Amino acid sequence: MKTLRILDSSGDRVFTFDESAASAKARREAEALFTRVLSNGATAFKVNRGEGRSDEKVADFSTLENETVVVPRVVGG
Amino acid sequence: MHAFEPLMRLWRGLSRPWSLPAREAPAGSAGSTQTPAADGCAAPPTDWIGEAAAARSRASEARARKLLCRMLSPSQLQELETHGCFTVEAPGRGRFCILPRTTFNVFHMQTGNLYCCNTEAFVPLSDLMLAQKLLLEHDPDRFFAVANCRPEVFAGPWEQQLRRALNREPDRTPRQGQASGLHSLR
Repeated sequence: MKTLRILDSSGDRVFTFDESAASAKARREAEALFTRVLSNGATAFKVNRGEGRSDEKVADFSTLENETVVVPRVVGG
Repeated sequence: MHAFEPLMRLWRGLSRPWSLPAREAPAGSAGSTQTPAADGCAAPPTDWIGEAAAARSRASEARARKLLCRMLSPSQLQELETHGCFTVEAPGRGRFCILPRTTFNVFHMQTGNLYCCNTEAFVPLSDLMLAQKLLLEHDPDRFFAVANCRPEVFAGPWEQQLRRALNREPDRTPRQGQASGLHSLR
C-alpha cells in the first residue's frame, strides 16, 4: 500500500492506493491530484524508504514508494 | 418609541467588541454585569465560532506535530525536545536551525543569517517546519531561490543562545532509514 500525504491546513490529506485492480480508481485519482499539485509548484518527497535509504525528491508518480509527502508551493516570506 | 431608537440599537451593537465574549458574573458575586440579552441586543455568535476554530487549529497542529516527529531523525527529535527546534544539513549550504515560528525561522548556524520561506497555502507550524526540513535537505536550490534573507544583525539573543548551544553539541548523523527507535512513534 502506498501513501500520498499532501500538507494542508488540516495537517495533511492522505490518499492510499496500491497496484491492485481493486484500487485502480483510487490510484487514478491520486495520480491526477499528484500531477495537478506538482504542476502548481508543489514539491514531493519520498520518505520512510527503509533499508537505510534517505528521503528523495520525486516528480514521477510511477516511481512513488511507500510514503510520499507533498509540500505546497513555497514563497519568500 | 423614539425615532432614533433603531439607530441607537445599531450603535449599541456596533460599539460592543465582537471578539470579546460577554462575561457572566460568577455565582454569588455582587457585580452588575449585564448580558447582551438583558439590554435588548442579541449576543453575536462568535463564542462558538472561535472555540470551534481554535479546536480545529489545535487538532491540525497535533496531527502535523505527529507527522513531523515521525519524519525527524533521532538526533533532530532530541534537539526538538531539548531546544524546541532542530538542525538540518543543506547539501553545499551548511547547517541550518529550523525555529518554531512562521517568519524568518530558518537560521544559518555558521553565519547567523535568518531565512524566510513559507508555503503558499496555510499549513500548521509543524507542517511548515517539515516542509522546510525536506526542502533544505533534498531540494535546497528551490528553498534558496525564493527565501528572503536577513543578515545576522537581526538575530536576537534566543537565536544566538541556540547557535552556541547547538554548535556545542556533537554532530549527529542524518536520518538513514530510521532503523532505531522512531518506528515506535508511529
